Amino acid sequence: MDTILELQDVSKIYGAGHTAVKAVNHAQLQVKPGEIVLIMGPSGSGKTTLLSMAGLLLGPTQGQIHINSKDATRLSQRQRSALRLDTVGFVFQTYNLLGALTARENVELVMNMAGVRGKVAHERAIELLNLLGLRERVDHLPADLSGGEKQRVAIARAIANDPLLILADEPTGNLDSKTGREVMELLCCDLGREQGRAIVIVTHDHRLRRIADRVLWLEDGQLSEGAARLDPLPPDT
Amino acid sequence: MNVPVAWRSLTHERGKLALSIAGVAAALTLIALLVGFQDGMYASITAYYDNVSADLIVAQSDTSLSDSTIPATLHDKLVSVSGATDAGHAIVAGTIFTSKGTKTPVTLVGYNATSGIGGPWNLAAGRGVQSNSEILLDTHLAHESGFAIGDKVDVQGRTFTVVGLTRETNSFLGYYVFISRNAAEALLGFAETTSFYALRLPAGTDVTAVAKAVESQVSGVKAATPARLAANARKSLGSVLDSTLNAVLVVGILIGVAVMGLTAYTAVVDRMREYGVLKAMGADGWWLARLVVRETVYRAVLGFVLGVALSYALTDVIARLAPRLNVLIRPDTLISAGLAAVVMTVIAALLPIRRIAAIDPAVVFKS
Amino acid sequence: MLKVAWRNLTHERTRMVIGVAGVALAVLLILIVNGIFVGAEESMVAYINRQSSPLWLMQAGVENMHMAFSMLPPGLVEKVKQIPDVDEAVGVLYIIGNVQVRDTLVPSYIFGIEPGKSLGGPWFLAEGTANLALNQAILDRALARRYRLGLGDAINIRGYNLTIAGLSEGTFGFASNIVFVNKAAMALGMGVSPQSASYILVKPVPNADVDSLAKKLREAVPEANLMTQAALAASDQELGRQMGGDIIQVMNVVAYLIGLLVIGISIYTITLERVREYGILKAIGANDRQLLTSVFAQAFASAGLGYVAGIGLAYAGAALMQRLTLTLIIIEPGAVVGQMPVLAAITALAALLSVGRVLRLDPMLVFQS
Repeated sequence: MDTILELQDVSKIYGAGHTAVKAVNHAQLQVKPGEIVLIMGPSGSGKTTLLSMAGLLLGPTQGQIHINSKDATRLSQRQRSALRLDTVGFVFQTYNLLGALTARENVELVMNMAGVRGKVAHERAIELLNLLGLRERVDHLPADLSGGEKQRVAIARAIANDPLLILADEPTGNLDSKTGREVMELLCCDLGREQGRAIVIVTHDHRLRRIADRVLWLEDGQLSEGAARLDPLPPDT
Repeated sequence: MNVPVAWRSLTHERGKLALSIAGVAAALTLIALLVGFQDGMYASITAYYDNVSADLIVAQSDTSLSDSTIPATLHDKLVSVSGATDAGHAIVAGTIFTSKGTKTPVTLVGYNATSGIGGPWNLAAGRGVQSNSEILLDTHLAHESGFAIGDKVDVQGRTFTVVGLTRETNSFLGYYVFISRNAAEALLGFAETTSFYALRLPAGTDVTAVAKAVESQVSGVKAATPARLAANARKSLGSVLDSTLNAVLVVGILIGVAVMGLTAYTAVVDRMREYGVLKAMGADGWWLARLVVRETVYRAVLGFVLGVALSYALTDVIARLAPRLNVLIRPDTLISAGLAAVVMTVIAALLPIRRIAAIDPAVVFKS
Repeated sequence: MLKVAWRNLTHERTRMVIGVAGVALAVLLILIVNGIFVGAEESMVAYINRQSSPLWLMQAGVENMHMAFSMLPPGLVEKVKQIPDVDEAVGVLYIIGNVQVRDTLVPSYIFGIEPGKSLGGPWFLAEGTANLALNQAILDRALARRYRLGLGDAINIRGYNLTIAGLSEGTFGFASNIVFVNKAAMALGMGVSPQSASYILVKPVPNADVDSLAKKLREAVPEANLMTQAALAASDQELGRQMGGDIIQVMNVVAYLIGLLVIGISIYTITLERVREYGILKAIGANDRQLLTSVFAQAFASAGLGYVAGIGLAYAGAALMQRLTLTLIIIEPGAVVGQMPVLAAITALAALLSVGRVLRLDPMLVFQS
């Protein structure tokens, strides 16, 4: 099976000379369709940098990044944007919804960007939001939504263009445990694994280990298998 | 139909929108008023020429009517040379107007009350002169000297009764007062002389040719259109007014434009985080630029509308508080200012967007 | 709190620069337009103010120079000279007329002066001589430059060609251009005696009591009107304003009001953007007084910086404009300092308006996206 995301010997160095900081150090990563990968590690370990590079928001200093078997490292800004639009969906800790747009419009917008307009985009947005249990909230502004609802809108937005890869940064960071669990089940199981999407999650939330296929540990820029670094999970609560 | 992101984002935060519109409007109003003052001043200076309804003015020179002395017997000759359908003459001279012991220099006009040639064109109150002992005063002159209709005034030792007050007859050059032509002749000792002839020509006449003909066939005169006289007056006064007025204008315009740019720049910088999110979603530089341009143009247009309203409102206020001051806001001034606003704000708005390519992705990941 | 405010302010460099720039531009606008206004007013009465004669005689019933016509009979100057305490008495002829400079008729105040006299002529001669022959004239240097004229070139008054023998400074301003010609020549052109005068400028001996001299002059020459230099200048300035000089004053007012509006908007914008940060402060326990201190500190810091920057820009801008446009721009320290209370008031008002938001802040704001 082809990998959806591949990082080959990827490094990111900020600064130069003796002030240089290696945020990511020779990282190797392969994520297959339907796979859920967790990246855990202490704060400041480079998780955001790694995720940014995976999402083509940041170019690596060294190494290659392949998305859907295409070398994305040397693409132009425009090409990267296009690739992101079609292939990658982001879910953020702070949701990052556009406050001026309703839930539906937030989802529709990314479809518009991809060239899907009018009724088609409109109906698909509603469909997605229904799927996420937001039937009653489609015309509400983010300010009127709870944290969980906002995150669900964000997820709907992330999958609106049917991406192969979803990158999530602390998706449950601002949610209570119950909501967090619900949201993650939706994202990972219903919308992720079952639809053959690859999901990479950066998180501190140990409970997410239950749903992950693999757990990686990132510390001081070094990415490694996490099993050895992690305490065993407590019994299911 | 796409999601109207630009419009929705713009109107979502009313407070911020109000501020940025206010910024653009303030700048536009500044520019419109400053230009309006200058235009108004020049309009009042040339008002007499602009309103003397004639096609050709025949006088001793083409630069001033009050310094001009020509024979008052040229009527028939001028008509035959020019083919004028109507011809009349009027007297214009500088004189002293006395009131409460103060002497004010004014421009005295002796006009033919029947034909109206050379006389006032805008009566604020009262009527035109009907006898040789009547006078019309400029409204502001009357107000400042404490005269009203029915009062008696002294001009060069003779007494006249005020029967009317005129408008558009004051300018930087002074006030106009109007008496009958006969009275003017007596007052100034003009036996058979006058200041100028006004000719009305048949439609379609080649005015330039007629002017040449008049000048060549009638000695000691120049023939010019009122527009030409107005232009000369403008040029003449401009020589001592322009550098100062233009200096104010330049400062006002430069700063007005800078403020508009600043407003637009701020509005975009404010939303950098949102643009970062959109970039993360997959919007490329062009898409973002288009979004920014749309928002900016909406903002500029709204600011323009407010600016226009404000300009006219302030013009009204100024007319009430300082009626002597003429503010003339011409539509093309507003349009030019509006276009400048759009161009300036779009340029200023696009500046920060160029940075979007280099935007730190951490921006969207941080709380 | 002040420290927080300062750090807040400088943390987001761009925002600070923008806000300060807004204030600076407004201050620049206010100071320069006011400077142009003051310069214009000065130039209107420059002739009167720059002569070293505290007392002026003119025709009875005349109280101005601007737009006035005054003529005193011959012999009066000699009579005035005889009065004790009079050090110097000089008669000048004066008329308002058009001076042909290249192809433009420039409305001017034409003064006929006597060669070798210490009063009545240009107060600053940049080039040439003030001792004019019959066919010579002194033109303002700025005007001459504008029309590309120099010493030796010709101007024309009422058909008479005159050669530029001197270039004066400070004699060209808003609605006022002063040209000097030979008095005898002017008398000839006007058809009056060379001994007559439009105005007689009187200089008292050093340490003389000007008031008692004035009294003596009034008694000696009751047929003329005597005015002090200050009174004449004031009267002329007032007339100048009435005739439309107040256009500059109104432009000044408009620029001022809009400048204030821009300052208000800039300050309000800066403080408004800090709402989120204030939310955090409130969430961690800051009380209203501390929040207010922070808001005001930030507002005044921005305003202060903008003010200083604006002043600097104003002086620089004025110098540049004077070189380029030949306009007199006077930025008085008094005007600069005088702006401070108003600036402070506007800043306080703008900060107060944004404070309403800060005080009503829900600390929960910080936990939302």
